[in-house]
Amino acid sequence: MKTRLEPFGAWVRLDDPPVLVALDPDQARRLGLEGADLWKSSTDAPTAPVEVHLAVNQRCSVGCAGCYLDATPQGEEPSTDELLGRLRALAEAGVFVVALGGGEPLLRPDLPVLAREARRLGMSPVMTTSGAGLTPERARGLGAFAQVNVSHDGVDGGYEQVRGVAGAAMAERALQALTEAGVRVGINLVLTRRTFDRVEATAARAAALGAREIQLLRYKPSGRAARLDYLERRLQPAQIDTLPALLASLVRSSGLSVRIDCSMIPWLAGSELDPALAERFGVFGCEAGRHLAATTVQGRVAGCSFLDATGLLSGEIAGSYRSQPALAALRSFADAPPEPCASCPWRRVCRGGCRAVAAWYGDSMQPDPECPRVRRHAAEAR
Amino acid sequence: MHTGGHCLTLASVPGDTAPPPLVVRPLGGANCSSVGSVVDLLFLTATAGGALLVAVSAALAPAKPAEPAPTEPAPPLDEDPP
Ligand code: SF4
Ligand code: SF4
Repeated sequence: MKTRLEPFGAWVRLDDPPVLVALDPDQARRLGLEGADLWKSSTDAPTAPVEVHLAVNQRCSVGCAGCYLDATPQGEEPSTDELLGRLRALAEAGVFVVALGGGEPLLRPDLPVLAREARRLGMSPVMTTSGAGLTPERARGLGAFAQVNVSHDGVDGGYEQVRGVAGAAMAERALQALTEAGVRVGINLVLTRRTFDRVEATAARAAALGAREIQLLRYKPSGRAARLDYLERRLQPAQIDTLPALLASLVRSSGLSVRIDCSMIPWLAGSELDPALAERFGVFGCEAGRHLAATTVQGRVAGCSFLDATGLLSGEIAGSYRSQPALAALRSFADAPPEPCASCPWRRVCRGGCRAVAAWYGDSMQPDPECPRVRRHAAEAR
Repeated sequence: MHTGGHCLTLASVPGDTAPPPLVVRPLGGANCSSVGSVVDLLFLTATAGGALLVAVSAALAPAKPAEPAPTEPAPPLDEDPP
């Protein structure tokens, strides 16, 4: 059991069942925890993120058309010692999950070292990869990761249509190699206009190759995807309307655990799902700068991987996460967004939608322009 | 909108008398850009969510005080201990 005191009480990570639990001060005291001054704090800003995305390089030779980081074969790559230092800083702050990503993490030979060190420091290391260069031998060296997700945007040409490269076979070989090596695997699937109809077939293919989870991701206008054809490539409003039914079908019949990313909560808000239940079971909306942060290849902290880096260095997270002004501004907006979010039943979960998408439309501190409720509100105001 | 499945609501989650934790977030996932959340429990019956809350409550229950160990009868004073 790993614990971290917070103004609301405490986070507790359990291994069985594998969950992260938020407790109020009375519940925390029953475990022998005492928050003293923190529980009297006038701000509810968290002391640190729950999960941090650690960019291990900005280097990749796959060349996906929509790479959010604009990674290239010559991209920057920090040294092993620099990354070990960042891991120590995250552990000191009390981070629970560290997600290694790039670029392409597999271009680094030191992944087993980084994963083992994260474990030794009490964090749960996970990784996202395209699968490029993943041999069975390398897969066997990744056993310290709690989970590895392979990007797979769709069978029957879906992958190519999103990424502009034929990588589905590579992704499937990687899934198989990881499964055979005993590593828990999932797939990351970016939802676009053209992948949406293939989601169930892709889930079935991934399950057959040993995947345990499907993570659906919203296509976001960031990096190489921040072009005008974003509007043509993104999920279309009629598809968004059917997303809850698709999720229900995946949960019932794919045999996989189903995850959605933080930016997709606005797309649940028109459904009959219960937002209080989503809150109770830890469904996260825009947690940038609150429960989620990212560190860039240069070691600077951002609210999430899609947002600009702040001046905060990863080594300063432990003492200064709560007070960094740009992160505080993200939290302030999300804690009290304007209408139509202010009166939205999903506000406490969604937190105003995706800041990265709002930024592309011109103002990061506005409600998510692609939320159906926000669109209706804007149309009524015209 | 109908989601095509039975929907669990918070009111339908069975619980015991102790207040449940504020949040129970299933771990797992491996995404390095945005943060993902499991949505299975939003679409399953109350039993699945209830079972998770029961398992969490059990894992969080403070350890019961250890039972006093059964004591061996003291050997007679005129006998050497083994
Ligand atoms: S109205 Fe705002 S809070 Fe509600 S779902 Fe849309 S973006 Fe999220
Ligand atoms: S800006 Fe917020 S919603 Fe968008 S990807 Fe980042 S954390 Fe998620």
